[in-house]
Amino acid sequence: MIRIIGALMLMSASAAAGVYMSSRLKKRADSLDGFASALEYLKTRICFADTALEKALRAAGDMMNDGRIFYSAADNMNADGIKKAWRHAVINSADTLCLTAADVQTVSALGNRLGLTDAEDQKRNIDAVLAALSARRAQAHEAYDKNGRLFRGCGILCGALAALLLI
Amino acid sequence: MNIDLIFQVAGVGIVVAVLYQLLSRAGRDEQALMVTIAGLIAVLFIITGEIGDLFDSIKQIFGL
Repeated sequence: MIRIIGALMLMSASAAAGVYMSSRLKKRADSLDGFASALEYLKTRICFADTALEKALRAAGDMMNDGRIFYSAADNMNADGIKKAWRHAVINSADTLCLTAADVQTVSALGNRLGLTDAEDQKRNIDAVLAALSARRAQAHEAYDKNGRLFRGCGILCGALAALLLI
Repeated sequence: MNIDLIFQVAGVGIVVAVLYQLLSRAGRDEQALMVTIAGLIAVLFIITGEIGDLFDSIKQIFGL
């Protein structure tokens, strides 16, 4: 009886690890999608509603499920300057949002010219980041489609294999 | 010979076969091959004792 319980525990732990890795891939894709739609909204608020940057950032953060990047940047932009505040916000949120180093680099690029020039230039800056982000989003979705099922399957099967060998 | 051993080897075979399919369909052929080899080695370790018994029996039968 204790062997069966041990085997089940081993299998469930391994399956949970596989599901966790798969969910991180999914979360990365969702984060990038949410970020892209939040950027579209930020562009609208800056270019057409003439909203102040801090308020526009908070409004864009509301568009995401987890808008911590925008909130953090809005909180710190007056103290650190928008470039530094944005970069810190992206780096600090990268692990929670499951972003890779390349994603961080792409998203950080937004802070270089954010709030420094006129609305037309802001629009161009956001459009450039959105274009770069679309490639990252496509890559994230492809990674999830390719590896999501693999991680889940491997998690369960590796647990089963270990249980079979130890039982 | 313990019948559980046969079921254990069969189970390892099934799991390794499914893992191979899963990995090769995801384009990870090298890892699939490694899993197959690892499964083979694991099964060889399991049946080492039985192979030893087999050789002993052969020696006894032929008086070697």
